[in-house]
Amino acid sequence: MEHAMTNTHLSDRDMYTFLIEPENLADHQQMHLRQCEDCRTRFNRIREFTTTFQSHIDEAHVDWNIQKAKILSAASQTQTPILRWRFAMAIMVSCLVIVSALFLRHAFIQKESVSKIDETVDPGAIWIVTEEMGKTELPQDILILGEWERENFTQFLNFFTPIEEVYDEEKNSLYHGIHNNDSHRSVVV
Amino acid sequence: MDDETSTFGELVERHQKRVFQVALSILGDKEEALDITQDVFIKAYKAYKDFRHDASTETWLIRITINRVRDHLRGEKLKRLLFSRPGKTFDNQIETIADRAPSPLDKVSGNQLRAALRTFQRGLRGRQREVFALRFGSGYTIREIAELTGMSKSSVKTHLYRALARAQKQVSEWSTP
Repeated sequence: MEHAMTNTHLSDRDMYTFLIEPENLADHQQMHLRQCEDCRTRFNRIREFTTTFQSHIDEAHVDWNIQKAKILSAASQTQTPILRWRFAMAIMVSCLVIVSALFLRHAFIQKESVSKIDETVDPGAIWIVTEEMGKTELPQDILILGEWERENFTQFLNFFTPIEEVYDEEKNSLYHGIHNNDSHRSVVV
Repeated sequence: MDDETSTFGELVERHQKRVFQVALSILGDKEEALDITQDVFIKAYKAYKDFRHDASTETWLIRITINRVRDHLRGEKLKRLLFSRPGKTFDNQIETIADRAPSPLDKVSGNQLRAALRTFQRGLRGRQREVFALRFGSGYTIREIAELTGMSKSSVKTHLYRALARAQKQVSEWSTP
């Protein structure tokens, strides 16, 4: 059945509809487009524009094998979350080991230094003689006390163990000593 | 790990062209589109375990592509705002390039036309540019574009009409002797 051409030209919107969803343009408008040269020219211009846009995209040349290799290489360098967690755990454990080592070393050096200070004893201070300390019942915390006001320290030590005054004839000086079995060489004035 | 790599390799091989095509159609720059393509697959590689397969793999990848392109364009916009000198803005560049394409469409050389197309493309606003590229650059239907971009179908059409109106205006300028 022949359709008579309508005299109404297509609007811009009709043309856009025909480009976007051709099935949504009414039959009589499609007929008009086929038969009206003005409308066809207008439509062809805009269609040519979109076709050129499409061909511009299609023309881009890419070596897909190289591109794929690049992507796979980049992907292999990225770490999965599980690997990242393992890595973080390893770092944490390493830090813990280092901190522990430093702490132990610090405690050891503290012992050494205290015993050396004893040889150059300052008459105004009280020092702990560490080599004897291991045999006493004193808490290890005392080891880090280092320097203490004489009177307070004596009271402090007295809290744990009886202290007696001892005279050292070789050095010609007075000691405060702690009785531990038969020895009394732990604390020096 | 080998199986994983092999599966991922197949995924890349099957979809890389499509991802690139979408990125290129929105951005209009081949190098940028290749970079985006690589980023998309790296992101997909990391997120593949979380992919719930409630959409097709292609849809999932194209959504990642669109989001990545949006981020890229936002970054570009910010760069222009921060670093472009007065009088040298992107819009001005568009006008300058457009002025250099005075011929009617059928007389414009291929290079000029490509430059003009890119100018037109970059002159479109965000969503207009996206839907125009997806419809005419990648050939998706209105329904597919709505699904990919998260917009309603009517919103997709509205953006397309506006983009086409701009295209027609540009074509008319070239066609005027």
